[in-house]
Amino acid sequence: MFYRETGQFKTNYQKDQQVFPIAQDRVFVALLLIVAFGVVPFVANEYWLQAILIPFLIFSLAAVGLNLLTGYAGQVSLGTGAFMAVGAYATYKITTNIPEINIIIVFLLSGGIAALVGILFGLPSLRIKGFYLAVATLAAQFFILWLFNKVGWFYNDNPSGTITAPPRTLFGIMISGPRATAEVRYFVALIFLVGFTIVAKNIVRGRIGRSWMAIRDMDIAAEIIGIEPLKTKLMAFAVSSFYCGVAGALSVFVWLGSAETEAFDIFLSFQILFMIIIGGLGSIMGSIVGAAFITLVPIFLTNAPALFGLPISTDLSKHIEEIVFGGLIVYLLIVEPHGFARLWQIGKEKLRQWPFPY
Amino acid sequence: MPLLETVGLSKSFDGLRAISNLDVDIEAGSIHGLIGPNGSGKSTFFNLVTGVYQPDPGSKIFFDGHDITRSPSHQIGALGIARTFQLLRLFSEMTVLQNVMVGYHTHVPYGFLSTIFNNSAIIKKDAETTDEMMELLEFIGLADYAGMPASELSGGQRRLLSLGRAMAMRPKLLMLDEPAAGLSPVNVENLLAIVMSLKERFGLTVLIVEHILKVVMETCDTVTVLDYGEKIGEGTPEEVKDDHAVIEAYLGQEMDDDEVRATFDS
Ligand SMILES: Nc1ncnc2c1ncn2[C@@H]1O[C@H](COP(=O)(O)OP(=O)(O)OP(=O)(O)O)[C@@H](O)[C@H]1O
Ligand SMILES: [Mg+2]
Repeated sequence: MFYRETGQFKTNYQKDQQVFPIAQDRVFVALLLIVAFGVVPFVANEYWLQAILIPFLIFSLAAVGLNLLTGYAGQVSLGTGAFMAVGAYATYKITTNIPEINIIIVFLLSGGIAALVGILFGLPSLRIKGFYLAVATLAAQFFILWLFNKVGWFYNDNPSGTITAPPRTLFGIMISGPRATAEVRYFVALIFLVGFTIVAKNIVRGRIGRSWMAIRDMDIAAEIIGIEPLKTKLMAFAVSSFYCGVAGALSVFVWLGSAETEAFDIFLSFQILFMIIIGGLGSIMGSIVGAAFITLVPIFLTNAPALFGLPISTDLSKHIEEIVFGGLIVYLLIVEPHGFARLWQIGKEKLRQWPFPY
Repeated sequence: MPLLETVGLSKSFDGLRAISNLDVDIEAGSIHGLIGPNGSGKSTFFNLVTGVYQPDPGSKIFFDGHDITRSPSHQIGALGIARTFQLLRLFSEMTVLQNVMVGYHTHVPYGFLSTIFNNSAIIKKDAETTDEMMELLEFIGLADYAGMPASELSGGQRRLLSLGRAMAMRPKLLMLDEPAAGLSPVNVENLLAIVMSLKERFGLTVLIVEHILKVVMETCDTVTVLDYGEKIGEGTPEEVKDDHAVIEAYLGQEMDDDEVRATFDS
């Protein structure tokens, strides 16, 4: 689950503690950031931004959050969609009632509320593990969505039953609502993802991350070493739900524009879970790669028949897409059960030994 | 006053008395051996002291002036008891360095906010911890494997790492459950030498469970013998060696002196 270069061993601690300790990774990430900030928003069209890139960034954020809980702390959750919903609905309630608070602050406050809800539904983790815990988080998923559907207060008794992003600005720029441009919303999502990814990296390589992994690997030994299971697990639930909550808020306020509870149903929870499994449990960057895979491949598959000039009805192509996509996931997991993070590791090893592989 | 003291310690599992009314005193600064046949309750004793199992009503456990009878494991660890497990229970996906870093856990208190923003104070503190832990790995001979996942170590290296992880806690009492099981004779010597020098260096008290009687006889100041959860003998290795009740229970038969000597010395 947890990988690290064995070849480039660091004797100097400062170096070891860099966010990306390995040179290849640093170069790669720097390039990625340059492209993401400097190239993409200027070449991508509205469709690309709205249908592909913004959701990819938001799902990445949720996937990073879930990976902290499941990949690092070892607590399986199927409640991701619900925790995202908490963030979205909390943002809606706060910003419609107190429009003076800047929307960015509201996102963070809503993350805090999602964290509290996460703690509440993380309490069973003290007694139950693995599959049973997953079922308990499933209860959170259904209960929370049911509540948001049932109680009109959560959507301001709006007859359509939806929550809608009102126009909100930051430094005079429209970042939410119908008049916010796709470029601006892309930047907001990107900045959130980058900032929170750095924080996640800081967490997992420090004392908190180590205590999560210790609980994951061997909880009895961890406790005797002085790690308090209750506090540690609940902190993982809180931090993870915070991430998911912010991602949920972003998905309504900088992506969809309006949503009902269906946008956060169990399918979304599974989707985010697939992302971290495919990307690699216990890998922050893997979460993002997994999110890219799960968001991009279906779009490619949908467009593939047209691209190759095959006359297939959209209905049929949708079904083919699902079959191929499902098959691809299964195939990937058979080839490399540890996901893309592990493949990346192996790839780098090959590269380093090239041209003398032995 | 003993460092660890149990009074009337008992534990039953569905009617089976795994530990029965046990009074044990472990003196500060000593190396105390705990021996007995398979299933006599040695590991259960460890689990009771470290809070993994709850003892039966009426039991008392005192450590360093504290009543720890009902304390949760993490508090017991923080008070200064570290242990190894018969089945090691390493953090297998974490690296060797991370395994000992976690052991040092209770000694590096710092807040959540400073961690997530990784300020310079944290960087400095983490660097100090790492240096100290690398030194420990050096001492037990695992420094070269610091970046390797614990699951990739050999059996003997895992035993060393489980010792290192316990030592990283900077304990007052170190409890070792069959630390030499499965090691070759050379490695047993090596491990004992490490334990002895750690003891000297940190002024440790050591409680050791071991089936290799030669080890017990050579290293321990005091030996307690268990059988069916009861104490059937206690004293210096010499005294225990000469106690025929012990010999009979432990070895299952009456033997003449030559045979006894052969068993203990092999
Ligand atoms: N969790 C448990 N549930 C039920 N019985 C248990 C449990 N733990 C230990 N026992 C029983 O308690 C008795 C003592 O076991 P223990 O593991 O303490 O023996 P031991 O002296 O460490 O043996 P060994 O030398 O084989 O390690 C055994 O009969 C065992 O079956
Ligand atoms: Mg045992």
